Amino acid sequence: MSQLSILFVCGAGLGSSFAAQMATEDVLKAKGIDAKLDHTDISSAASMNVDIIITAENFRSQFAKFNISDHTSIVYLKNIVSKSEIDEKLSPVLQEKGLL
Amino acid sequence: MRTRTIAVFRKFISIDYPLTIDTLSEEFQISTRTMRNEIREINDFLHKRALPLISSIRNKGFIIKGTNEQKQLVKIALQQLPVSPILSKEERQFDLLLAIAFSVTPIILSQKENSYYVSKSVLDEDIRKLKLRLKKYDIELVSQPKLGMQLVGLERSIRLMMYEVINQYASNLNYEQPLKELNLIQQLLFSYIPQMLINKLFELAEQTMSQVHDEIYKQQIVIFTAIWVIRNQQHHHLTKIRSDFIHNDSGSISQFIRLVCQHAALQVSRQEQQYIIYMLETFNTKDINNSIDWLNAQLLAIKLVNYVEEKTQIPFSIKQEQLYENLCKHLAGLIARVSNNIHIINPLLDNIKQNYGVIYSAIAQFIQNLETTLSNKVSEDEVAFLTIHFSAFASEINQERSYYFKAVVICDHGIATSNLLAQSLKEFFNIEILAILARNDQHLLKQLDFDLIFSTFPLSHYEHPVLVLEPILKEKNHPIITDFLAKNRDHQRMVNHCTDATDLFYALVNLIEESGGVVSAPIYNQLEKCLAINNLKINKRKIQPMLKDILTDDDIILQQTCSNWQQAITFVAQPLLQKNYISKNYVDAMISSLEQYGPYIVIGKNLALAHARPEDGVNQLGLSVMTMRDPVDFGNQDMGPVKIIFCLAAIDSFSHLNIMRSLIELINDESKLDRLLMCHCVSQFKAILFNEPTPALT
Repeated sequence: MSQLSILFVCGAGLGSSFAAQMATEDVLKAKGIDAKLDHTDISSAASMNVDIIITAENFRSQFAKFNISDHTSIVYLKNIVSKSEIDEKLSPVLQEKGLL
Repeated sequence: MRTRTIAVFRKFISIDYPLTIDTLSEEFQISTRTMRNEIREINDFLHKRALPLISSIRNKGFIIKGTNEQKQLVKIALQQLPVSPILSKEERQFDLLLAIAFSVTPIILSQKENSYYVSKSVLDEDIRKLKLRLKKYDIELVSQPKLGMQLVGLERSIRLMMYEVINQYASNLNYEQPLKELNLIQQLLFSYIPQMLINKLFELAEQTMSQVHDEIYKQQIVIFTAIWVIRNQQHHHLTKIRSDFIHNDSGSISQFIRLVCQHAALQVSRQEQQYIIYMLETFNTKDINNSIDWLNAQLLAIKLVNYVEEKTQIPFSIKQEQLYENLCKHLAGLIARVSNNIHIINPLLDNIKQNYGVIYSAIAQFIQNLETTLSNKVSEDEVAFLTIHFSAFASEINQERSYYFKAVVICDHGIATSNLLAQSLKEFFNIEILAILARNDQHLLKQLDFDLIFSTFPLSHYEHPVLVLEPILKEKNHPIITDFLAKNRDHQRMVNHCTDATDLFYALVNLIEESGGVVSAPIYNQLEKCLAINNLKINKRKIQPMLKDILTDDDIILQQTCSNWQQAITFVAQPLLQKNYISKNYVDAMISSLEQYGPYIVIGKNLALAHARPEDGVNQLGLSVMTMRDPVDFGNQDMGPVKIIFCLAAIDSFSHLNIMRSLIELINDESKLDRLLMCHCVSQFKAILFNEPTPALT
């Protein structure tokens, strides 16, 4: 399997998504998982082919409108910089993908 | 008292600062416990004589505490101390070799047993050790009737062997001190090579070879000459004729040898003379008389500089002329020494290895090739000497020359005067003169790429800094130029060390391909690495600034009243709008993004980060912050109402990395956030935010 790719998405693709990316970096480092992380804005998110998308709860309705590929898992966060929430919601997805 | 105890004692007397047990035990090659015993024994001795003791200073080490007079008394007490006549194994072997090589009377082992107070078996063991040692020089140690112990081998080898042995045991000659103050090894040495002779040789060397500044070389020359004199006095002459001693009879070394022979009333054959002059030339860094060695040294120096530059990434070639010259002189001597198996001793070896490890190992690697050519081993001492040459230049390169100015000289006093001015500027300052122009050449300025103008008359040119100078640069005017350069530091350029940027070009093309036009973190890091490999410096703080680098006083608004979130965003954006970092359109984009996607910009408890896309109207990376007197509802239930809002103007998706780091740190530090919210004073706010000591309230 190629390197796990995770995309962080927010409105502008600069602030919250970047913040979430940094918080997740720490969570993954603690688990010893090496992944390719990047952040972007919501309008470009639909066209990216990645394993996991991490975004804020308020974008749920937006993503519902997109035609996201089946093998891309989406994680919605209430607090996008909370490491405990990231850990809690990301771990089942990683397990599913056989990485844990 | 044992000789080692005396040596430790001497060490304490000679040094005025505390010594730790660790350094002492390392120096004397004994355990820390043994070292403590040595100190105890010395203290017993001092105590009996009511002299100041060696005492310890907490965390610093041991020292003899006392006035200068008291220390003088300690010194006298030490000198009166009867030295045990019993030599250690090392000292005995050294003494034996000296005796066999230099003594006029035959050395009979059975007599030596008595004078050393050792048994026959101990002495036999010493002889066995010595034989082993001499094997490497093809020298045999044999006992002959009536003549006693004899060294049998080539006279050349015997002299070399003795030279190495002396260097190894007595690394630094204390030829000026009275004999009884010296350590035992040196006392032994001087009992076979009279101290008077050594003194005289130093004196003559000083007289004739004034250009040999390096003490180390001078000492080697003196030791070697002393061996030569004594061996000749005892009629041990060269055994095989060699015809390749080519040298220059009029050189300073020839003169030195003439004076030495005169002084020692020594009559030597022409061959002996040629031999000693040739050997001493190899210690001399200044004169290269042999053209083959000279050529080899030249080629070797060029290769060596290139190799070391490549390995260490230090741009030695910008200093090349001087470095090559010094290296050539050294390498010629080195080649001669190595070919003749002469081992020169470098007392700074360990120090050099430790402090200039990178350069040292680069040279050591290069030298391996040389060893194959010369089919002889190049010692670590030699490598260390080469390292000194390089490291001197490395520090010079670091100190200066990282920056320079490109300047134009405009002068109306004729060509010679203008040239002189240009040369003086180049000589004394980091200035490169791009062109020398006359009064009516000024229209050419437009076509030139330069930073500064030096002129001999006032100019009406305003695009570049201009300094008007007298045509003849006087030393007292240097500070004026220094000030001028300092004032215009912004205009200086970095020295570009990579003359050929082909590799850089391909590396960049690859990076562009890989990025697919998107600047991501890995691309950023790779680009940084790529530039670093090519010796191009970037200002990281400028590319990815810290919070404190971009958040200025006027970017901070405290205790603002806002009636709704739209107003909050508009207010916090004001400082950036005023500085023209963002356009009005950017403010609208921030508001509409929230209307469209919801309150996702509330990224922490009571904290919002208002932002939009760079293309919505960002001119420059910027950040502003506002605290609110009353919380404002942004519609995010999980994070609560907003009490502090940041406005970020990002120019790409990566340069604000360090700013984001600080914000995340803040979100995770609720008490810090609380303190910020309470704050009414900008300087205090900054101190809390930047984790600096809080200034007192005025």
